[in-house]
Amino acid sequence: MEADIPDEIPPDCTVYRLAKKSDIKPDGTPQSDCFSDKAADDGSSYYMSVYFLDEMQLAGKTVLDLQKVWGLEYTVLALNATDLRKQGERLWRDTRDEFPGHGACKRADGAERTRGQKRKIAKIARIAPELL
Amino acid sequence: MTLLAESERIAPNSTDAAIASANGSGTLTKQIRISRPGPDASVSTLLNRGQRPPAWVEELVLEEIPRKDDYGLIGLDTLARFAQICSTLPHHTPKPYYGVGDDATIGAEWDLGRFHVEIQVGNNPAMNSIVFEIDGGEPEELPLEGNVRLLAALMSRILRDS
Repeated sequence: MEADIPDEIPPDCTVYRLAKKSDIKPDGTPQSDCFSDKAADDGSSYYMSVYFLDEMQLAGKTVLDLQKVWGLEYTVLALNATDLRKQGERLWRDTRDEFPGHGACKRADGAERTRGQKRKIAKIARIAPELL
Repeated sequence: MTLLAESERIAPNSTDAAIASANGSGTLTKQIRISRPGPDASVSTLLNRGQRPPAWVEELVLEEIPRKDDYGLIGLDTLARFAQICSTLPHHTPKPYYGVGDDATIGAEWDLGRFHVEIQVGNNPAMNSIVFEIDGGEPEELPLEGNVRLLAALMSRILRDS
């Protein structure tokens, strides 16, 4: 069942997800834990924060700038909007002051992402090439 | 500093553990008993007499996972349940990659040759699950509750074959 989740990002848009370097395995692939929805204050499922390259570019920002904002403890994983949609995810913009391009990723049915669904995203995510 | 001592009936095959976690007002130390019998009957018969849990379980649960829990999301029950599950694994199970998700879950995963195994234990038990994958294929997901024995058996078989 489809929930009323917005879906407004161009299919070819690169989607970035911040991840702790300690959650990257020695082979360079991320652990599934990197792809959890943030819990809301009441404990309910919220969404997974992401950044969209198209909006970052309009603001003159790069993935290197994004990584700098979050610090050396973090790295940036790159995905593609179409690939995420194929995994049942929906994407929308949710602007924050801290850095341009902030957005949200959530299951199309509004449900909390299961471990298996996290794993499927982990398998298609890679560290942004600019950071290698 | 607040010190809480939680007394529970002593169960066979139980391990006492003190879990310290930071909170806003200082250090909260809670004495828990990681019991194997666990909260559900299915766990109570998982450990054979004399079976030892993997050596990494205690440090992982008492120190490493709390250190990764930046926002203090993980409940004590969740941590204890995770410890119980890991304690049912064969003694020679290697230490997993582990993490704490923003959704208040603890995850552990193993890359074991052709096999990939993950477990998740969260504050919401409905999200507890096991993921198996062979040769990089489609991940198969099962609820953790009711399948802990299967997890231990599969891990044993995988470790024997890999």
